[in-house]
Amino acid sequence: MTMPATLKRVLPQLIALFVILALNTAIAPGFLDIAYANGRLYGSLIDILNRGAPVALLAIGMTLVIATRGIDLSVGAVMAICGAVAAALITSDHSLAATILMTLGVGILCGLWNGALVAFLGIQPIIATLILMVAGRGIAQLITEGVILTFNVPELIFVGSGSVFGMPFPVILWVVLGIAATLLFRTTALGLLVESIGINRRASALAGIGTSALLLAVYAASGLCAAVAGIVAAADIRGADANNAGLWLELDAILAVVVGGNSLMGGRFSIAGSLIGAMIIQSVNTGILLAGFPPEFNLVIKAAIIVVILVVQSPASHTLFAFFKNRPGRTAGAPVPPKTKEEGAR
Amino acid sequence: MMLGRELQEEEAQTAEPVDYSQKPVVASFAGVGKRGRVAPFDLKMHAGEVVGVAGLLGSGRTETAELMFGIAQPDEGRIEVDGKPVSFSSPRDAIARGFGFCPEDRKQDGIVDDLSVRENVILALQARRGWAKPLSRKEQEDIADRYIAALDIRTSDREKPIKFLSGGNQQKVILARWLATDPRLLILDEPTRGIDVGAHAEIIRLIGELRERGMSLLVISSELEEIVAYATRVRVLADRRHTGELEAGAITPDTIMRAIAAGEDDGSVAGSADASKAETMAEGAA
Repeated sequence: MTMPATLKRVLPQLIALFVILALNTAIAPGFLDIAYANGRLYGSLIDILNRGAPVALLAIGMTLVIATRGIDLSVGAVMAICGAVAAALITSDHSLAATILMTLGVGILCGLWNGALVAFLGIQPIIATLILMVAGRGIAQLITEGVILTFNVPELIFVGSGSVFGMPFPVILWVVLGIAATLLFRTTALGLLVESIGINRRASALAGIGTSALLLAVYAASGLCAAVAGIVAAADIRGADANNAGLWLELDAILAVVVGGNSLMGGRFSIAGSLIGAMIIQSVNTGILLAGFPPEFNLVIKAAIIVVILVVQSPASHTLFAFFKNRPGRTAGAPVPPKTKEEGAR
Repeated sequence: MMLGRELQEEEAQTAEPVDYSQKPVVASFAGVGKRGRVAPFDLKMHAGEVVGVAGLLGSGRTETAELMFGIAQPDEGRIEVDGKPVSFSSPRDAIARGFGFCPEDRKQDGIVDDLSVRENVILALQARRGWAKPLSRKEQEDIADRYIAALDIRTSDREKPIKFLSGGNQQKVILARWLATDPRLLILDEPTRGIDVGAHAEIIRLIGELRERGMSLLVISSELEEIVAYATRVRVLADRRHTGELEAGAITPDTIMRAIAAGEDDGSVAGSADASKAETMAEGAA
């Protein structure tokens, strides 16, 4: 994939992000200010990058799952499980490395469970992952024995609130993981094979693609991303809250993927698009808070965004879009409906 | 091109009967069958021959192909490739042995409709190489361009999604997908169904060319004239059983028709006996 193609793909998302950031600036004059203090950058923009980290991390795995025409509802619960595991391990005097490795392992196991239900038993992804979504918080409560398991280990807390080169560590995490995942899927054939499965699983299997192994891998990747997000969330509050960690974040992650221009019907995907989608969502959240609206508005506005995006992505509007796009003599970029409509009428 | 095509057809009809049983065996299937799908059958596929498969709808033609390609797993019988016993748990295994398969339902089982012509062409080759060894963009483009030219695939652009191509051109892309893997045994299930006349003739010509290059082909078709044009022998199926075989020289639409009818007559007796046997077994199991 060449750079201009990637840029063209995420252009609508970038425009949406800049529009929302501009609105935020209009609402709160100091919005764009960034200050440097105590070896760390501060400001609303940095806050958006930092607060959006869990959803951005989840969105990376979710993009891959959705590309196979699946969905992973369990990521919020897996975050809770992994937060609980991390807290339980670190408080029982395991080393930081062992804690993190084992926690990531648990996340991958959770993903493999989902993947096995989808790939081998042929259960619809929404149902298969619903099982762990429901059971996951129970499992997390069993691990924390019903209490909020707190810890005070600076190295683990660093994952949630430390900073590197002035950037909050969670930001570094999602940016690096996003780039790594993109490179892994785009410099190998994985991206193509995953897209092929999402578009036509049966034809892909007949062409010799190991569909089961790839589905397992993709759900495992989603579990891994949820584990990282779970560690970040736990480290941020210095404790594992089985009830509230990652609560409803699966929906934000799905929304980020969809806002990022990826179709729930599977196929073509863009991790960069999903990451920008996650930042759009966080910008909306922050903007509403800055505007001083009550947080309830947040949910209503988010819902409005879903509706707008789904309408734009619907097959009906695609047909319309393709119709205008194929008009001769059009200029590049988004169609201008009133003008092109007139041209179409002639 | 047109002239060549006509010559080709004539040639196929008047060609001297060659004894293909003397040619190397690519794959042999001995007593391979699956209950409820197709009764055990023997089949030796030689290099450079085209085995036509004729029979009525539901006679077990596609089921035979599925057992051969690892889509369904036989519950009895032996498969040998190059004299070595193999078992296919998925199409992947069959492809690793140099098999290819163009399915009957092109839309459901063949094309990956949102992917480009280029990506559809390289898909099987890439899948066989594995995800970690990607074909470079340049290699992909070269392969796609080569087959677009060789099979005369009508597309404005190799980056066009395959769903925008006509049925015949989609079928040629699927053929190209397999030819790119350089298969030794190619199974074609109704390769000319639902495509335009021009593409139809080109695919028949292509089957002849592939045979001459030493590929072994199994072609399932409902069009008897077509089978006569390219088959070097014909396997006749009826009622989910392989009921007969016609050798080169004896292949005409009429003889195929009669062989099918004969098989259906036998089958109606044997088939009902089978059915009652199956019922007793089902009761026993219950």
